[in-house]
Amino acid sequence: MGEEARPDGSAPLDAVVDEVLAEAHVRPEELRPEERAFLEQHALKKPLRVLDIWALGVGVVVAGAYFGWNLGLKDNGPVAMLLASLIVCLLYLTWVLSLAELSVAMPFAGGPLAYGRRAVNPLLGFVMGWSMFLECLFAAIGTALATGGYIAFLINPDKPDPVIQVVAGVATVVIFFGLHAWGVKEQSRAMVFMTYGALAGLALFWVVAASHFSWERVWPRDNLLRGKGWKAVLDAVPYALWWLVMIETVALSAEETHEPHRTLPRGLTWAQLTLIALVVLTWLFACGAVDSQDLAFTPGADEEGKPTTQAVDYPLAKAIRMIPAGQSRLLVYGFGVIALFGLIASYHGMIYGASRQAFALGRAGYLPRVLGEVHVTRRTPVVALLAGSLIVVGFVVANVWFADAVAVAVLVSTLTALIWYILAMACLYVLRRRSPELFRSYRAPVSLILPAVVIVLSAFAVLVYSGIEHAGVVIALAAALYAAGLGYYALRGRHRLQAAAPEELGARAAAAGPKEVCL
Amino acid sequence: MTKKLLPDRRRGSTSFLLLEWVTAVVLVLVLAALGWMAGADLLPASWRLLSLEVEILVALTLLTAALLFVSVLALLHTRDRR
Repeated sequence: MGEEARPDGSAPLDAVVDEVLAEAHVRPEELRPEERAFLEQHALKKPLRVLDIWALGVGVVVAGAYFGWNLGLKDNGPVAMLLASLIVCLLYLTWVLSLAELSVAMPFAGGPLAYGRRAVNPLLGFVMGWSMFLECLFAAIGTALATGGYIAFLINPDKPDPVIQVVAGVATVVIFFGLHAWGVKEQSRAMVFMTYGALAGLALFWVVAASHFSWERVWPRDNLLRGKGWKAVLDAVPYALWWLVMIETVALSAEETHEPHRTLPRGLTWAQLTLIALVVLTWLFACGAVDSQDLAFTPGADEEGKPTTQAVDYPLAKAIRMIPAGQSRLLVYGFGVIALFGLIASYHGMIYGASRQAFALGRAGYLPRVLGEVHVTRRTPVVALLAGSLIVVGFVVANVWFADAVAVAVLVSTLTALIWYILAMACLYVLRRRSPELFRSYRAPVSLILPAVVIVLSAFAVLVYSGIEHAGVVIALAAALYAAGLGYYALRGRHRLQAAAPEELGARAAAAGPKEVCL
Repeated sequence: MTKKLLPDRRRGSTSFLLLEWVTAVVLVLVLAALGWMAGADLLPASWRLLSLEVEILVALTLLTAALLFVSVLALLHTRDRR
């Protein structure tokens, strides 16, 4: 079983299983025949290389440059936004370097599930895995809604039709379910293509915006923090997080990555440095081209004539439309179409993350085991993909009755992300001490202090979040979701854990003590 | 056989260790600056050290230096010896 080359020319499954065992630091002879059969039935292919990892990292995050961050400019100004953005860039740079260490040590689709399971116990593994599942799922919901809204805007900029928004959002979900179910290499190729498109859109924006650039708008000397002092910087942090959140999705691709100890650190580092350049350049040219408050909101009036403000969902398109070079409708609409690449590329990475985490939790028995099934020939986690896609469709349709769905989805995603960043770094310290053999093939630079920096910066961001708009709804929804997940785990999941899942094998190896297994 | 991303010889070199130490110091300074920012938000009068513009420039310099040092280290660290 599994010895013969597959009809599609892929590597024999036995080789994949042996690699999983080596990554779990388990010797092949320690595996019972039924456990080997389980791994063969649930094995994923390993086609991803540095370019794929880079594209996944950049692609899943690039939507943050197209919308969301601009809301932090309101009442805070460009200088506060720059400071907040650099704080967030440092958080994410230190985070991806530390995450690379964990994902190389335990290159399983479960990612955080494996870290928490091995460092402490199954309960912490479940909490971390569930947190990342919620993070990816709610980011996908927010981005599917935004994609639908963007398409509705392009069709009728004066009055976007909410029905078109829902139909376009659902169509996005359906198309990407099909692409992901087809195969990981195929969706990775599509990701590379869409990432290039999203980067081309940003480059076009920088060139057009540069034609109307003014340093006075970027650095308003008389009113640097708009009279709010350092509070302006703190208030801008939640919106600056949207620039870069979700890059950790890449850690879930570790089980599908060729030579993860080489590929993951390089791919993640280059992706993060690319994204930092995008953040700085997009901030610079957007804030230099038009007044920062025009990027954040559009003034209006309600039915009684009272002044109101409408948040700007399409800041870069609006900036282009406001400057002389952007008066051409062809340029505005052309840029709008290219910008869709950014949103779609990010949705693509988000549903990838949600499906892989649901797959890993199902495969290991923490969630219903049917979620851990893979397609017989394509080796893709179709059930987890279908479940995630159906939940996203439900929220997209619910947007018709709940106007703040995008904001709430984004904030739930970010809150759950920060929770598992802190827990993951605590796990890294525990595992370095308890299982140093895990980290022989890769160790992050400045390794003693880097995880501490992530913990402090994440805790700083969590505290800032407590004062945001929608905080009540977001915290209540997140608490309800954690209660539901923990309830399932306590009543059913913890009694049905699958000992042969890669994350559990890793924990078994830890219990047996250190040993050397060569890749 | 596991392939390391960076030869041990290079990781243990004096210049690399020095770069790691400088980066660690800058990161600690950034964390201190964030603590100061939070304090200046709560008690702006008593926490003011310099003019606002100079404070902003110092914070920007620290953050930029931290990003540069960590980036250089990360790139050196993930270079392939093959």
